[in-house]
Amino acid sequence: MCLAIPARILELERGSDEAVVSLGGVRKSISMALVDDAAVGDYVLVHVGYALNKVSPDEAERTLALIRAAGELDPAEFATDAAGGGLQP
Amino acid sequence: MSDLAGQLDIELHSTGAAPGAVIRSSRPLTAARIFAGKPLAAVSSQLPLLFSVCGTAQAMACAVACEAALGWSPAPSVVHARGLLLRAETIKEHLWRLLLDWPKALIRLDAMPAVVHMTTSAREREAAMAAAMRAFLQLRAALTAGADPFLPGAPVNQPPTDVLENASAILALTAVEQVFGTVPADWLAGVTTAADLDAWATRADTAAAALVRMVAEQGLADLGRCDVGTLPAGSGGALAPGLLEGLAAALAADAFVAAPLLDGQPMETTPFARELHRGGLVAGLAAVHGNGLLPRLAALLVELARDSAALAAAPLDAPVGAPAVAALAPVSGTAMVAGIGAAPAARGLLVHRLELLRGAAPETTRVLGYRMLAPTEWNFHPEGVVAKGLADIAAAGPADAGRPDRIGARARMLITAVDPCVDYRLSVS
Repeated sequence: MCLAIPARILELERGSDEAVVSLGGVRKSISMALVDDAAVGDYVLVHVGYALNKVSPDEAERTLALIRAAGELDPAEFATDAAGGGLQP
Repeated sequence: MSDLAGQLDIELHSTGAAPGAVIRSSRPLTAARIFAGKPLAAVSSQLPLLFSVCGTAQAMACAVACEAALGWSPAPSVVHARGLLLRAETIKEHLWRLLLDWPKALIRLDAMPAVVHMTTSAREREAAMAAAMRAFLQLRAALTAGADPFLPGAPVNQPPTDVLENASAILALTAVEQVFGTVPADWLAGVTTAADLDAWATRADTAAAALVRMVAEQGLADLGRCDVGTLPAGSGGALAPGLLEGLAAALAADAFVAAPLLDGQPMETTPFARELHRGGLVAGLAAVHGNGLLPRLAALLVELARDSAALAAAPLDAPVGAPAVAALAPVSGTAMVAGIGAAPAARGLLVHRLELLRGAAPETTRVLGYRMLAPTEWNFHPEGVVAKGLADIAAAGPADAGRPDRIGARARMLITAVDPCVDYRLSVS
């Protein structure tokens, strides 16, 4: 589903739009091109490699709690597979 | 944690005895189960937090499904506020496709024409997108500052009009400067045929016009073309009667949510599908190019023009189409009711089906069951419109200019044009 994940900014690279964030404890490089005024320690919503906007620590925690709850009910083995191994032209 | 957004794994097999495409998804499709047992008001506020990318469409589908189930009506000012915000979200999303995603995919296909055509740099386009994103967020803040307009049965909404008009103007201006090069209403009136589109693309100096030129010049107008149909619509693009009720029953099954079919067939739901049923430019292009790349690009432009024109004219007065809803038969002898609602999200139709235990007010009404069906599951069905288009790209691959990297680039262009709303991994063998 269309989830944007709250992430905490760990490092901001001066002179570029790249940032390193903590996405569920994993360090990840993302683009800050769509967000201004963000600082290390701020939370941003991340989607397809971009920070979308800043969110408050409270909203970040509430959203992460929902995502965690969804993860407990919907483990990764819910992967679908093409019946019969795929599509021929 | 980031794995919880899921992703698509897409394999193209272009060599060997059986060229084809395989799409696998790890998208979380039943996350809405977490809402079972919660009060309606809590679900209404939490849902767009969880599904935030198209949060407005999500909130809309939830609100209208609840209202259908409960027989509640929101105030007219609330209907307008919801419609305005949905329009703004669609504008924001279509701008992202046109300013960021399509240029990246087309440039990857062939850098040389891009160097010639793309007069705005990636940095300039990102800056424009950032301004549009800020304007959307300001608009959303202004419209939700008092009562949440997406609370089922919400009362009157009275947003601060100056903030509203400011933010609306920025969104509309972005469309003018970055996409159309002219007032969107004028573009809509003046670009109604393939020849008009060609003429506009030749003279306009915007990134979007460059996209149209590149698609035409590189012979990509038919890319991805296949025979998968679109979700049926009535006149004016409204959903076919009975479609929602039919989906309501099917949605109970996890397997259906993961790979939906209509009458046993995969279907497409996208801006192209919406516009095809409205006739005009996109229908005319589809008569020549089917559901290929150029009609898809045109559909984004037409929708963006229409929504931007409406926003620029009179933000709160612009007529809003009613989202499709249906109340489902309540369970007699109980306070249980059910409803299904569909909102036109930027990428396609979003459907919510829920069961509620009726209370006197949102605070005492509880959600019992919640099912969702997103456009990505229709469009990226293992045998759907993208899979078929990719299979043809894989089959054509070896014969195409002897450049194996072009197979992957063409595949990425098609995937971008239908837009899965999630990360994907593509492998070509």
